[in-house]
Amino acid sequence: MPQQEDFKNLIDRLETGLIVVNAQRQILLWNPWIARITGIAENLALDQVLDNVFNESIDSALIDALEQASQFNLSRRLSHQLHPSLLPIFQQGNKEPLHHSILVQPLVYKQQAACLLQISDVTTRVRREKHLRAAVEKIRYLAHHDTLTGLANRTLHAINLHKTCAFAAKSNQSFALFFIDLDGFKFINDRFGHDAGDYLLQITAQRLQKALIDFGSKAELVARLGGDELVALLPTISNADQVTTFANRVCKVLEEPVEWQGQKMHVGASIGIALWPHQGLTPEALMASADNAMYLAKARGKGQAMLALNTP
Amino acid sequence: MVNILNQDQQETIVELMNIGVGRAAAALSKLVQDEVLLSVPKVDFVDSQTAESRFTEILPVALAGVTQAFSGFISGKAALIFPEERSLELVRIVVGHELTASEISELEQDTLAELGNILLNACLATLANILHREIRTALPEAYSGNCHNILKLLCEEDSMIMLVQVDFSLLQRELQGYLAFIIDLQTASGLYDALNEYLEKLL
Repeated sequence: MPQQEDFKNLIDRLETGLIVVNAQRQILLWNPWIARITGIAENLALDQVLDNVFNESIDSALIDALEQASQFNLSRRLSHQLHPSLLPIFQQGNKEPLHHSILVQPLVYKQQAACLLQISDVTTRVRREKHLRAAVEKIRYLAHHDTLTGLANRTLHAINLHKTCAFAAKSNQSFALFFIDLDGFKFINDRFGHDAGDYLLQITAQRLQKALIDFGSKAELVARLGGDELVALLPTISNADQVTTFANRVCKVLEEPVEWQGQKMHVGASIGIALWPHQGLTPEALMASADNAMYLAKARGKGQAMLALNTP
Repeated sequence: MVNILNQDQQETIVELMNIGVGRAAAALSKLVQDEVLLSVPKVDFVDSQTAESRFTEILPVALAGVTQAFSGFISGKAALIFPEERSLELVRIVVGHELTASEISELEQDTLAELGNILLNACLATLANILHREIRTALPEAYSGNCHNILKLLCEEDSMIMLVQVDFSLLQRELQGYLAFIIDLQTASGLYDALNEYLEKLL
């Protein structure tokens, strides 16, 4: 039967696992690929029950698919993401799990109702996508964060402010925006150098984040717009006095000296506060109000917080 | 437009499809842990040109999803259809990743094909089971394209089609899709007999 021999030759060379089982899950075909991967030779696998060959560690989804195929003639695709270990099979050499997906199809084989399992190795795909995923996450992080302080950058702040405004409008829940500018930061750069200025910004960022978290806000709602300009969102507030008291406390926290190579560096902070909705309904209006209030705080002697004046 | 089924038969088809998509919805609900809302199936008998204008009317321009062929007492193709830019949303709800780069989605395409497979199998198997008939499904295939291309994938140019349209959406998330079953009416007698037998048993 030369034709049959040709087909066998083809199947023997396939880089895909092929298994055919009957309705009782007895193995009728076991190709060289699956023999190589499992280390179980064809003559030992044939006529055995699939569950026994894999020591009863077959994913129940595969058993369901085989039952659906033999009882109702339904084909099934079992993807790696939904079923990470359908069969206990391992990569040759390093013994790591072999990532795979399986296609199950009903068919007639040797004149009996049977199921064909096609097993594909997706290990390379999984590895490649893992790397790409990590790269995309890194790119996304870099696009949204300030590399010096790790704070959100201007872009992410704009997104967060937009979302917070939308949520506030929906829930009618007021929130506050702080516009923070350090007092005397230029002097630090001139006196101690830019490395010292960078270090001070990093410490200031950490202190600001900690203060915000203690108040019930979130670290990612603090952003660096550039230079020594920072902003923060306080999504849940009950009244203006409470916020102003807190902002003045933040001024004190940021006034604490920062130690650099045995010397103490001192800066202050001026904070402008704008409340939604009274000092701005839109992100742009709120930013303008908070910015103005910050300049007012500077004009009044620095080191303090001011609520924007444009109250209704 | 031809209508080969009488009123009773057509209502029965709607009812059976309702049960079928109900099962499919239950399967989907379990996977996404969200309530799945389904419209009452809309059944129409159309030629392929009418099907195309119907598709163009109700569906966005760029589409993606899963098709699956079936044969037995009826033959045809079933499809799960999404607007192209939302097609992987269902996968991400189930698997939990959030990526935008299309080149990373090879594994996700596979998962989408499986999700379509689960839905369409549940539907078709229920139909066959209630009518005591046999149906065989082929492997699902992921696709993308516009209405015209997708209809070309789903049916022959001159075939008559029974178009069963079901809209579904998830309650907690913004995701809407469509299920379409395109039944080749050359196998209409199989459907006709099965429905009659079912109706006779009911009486």
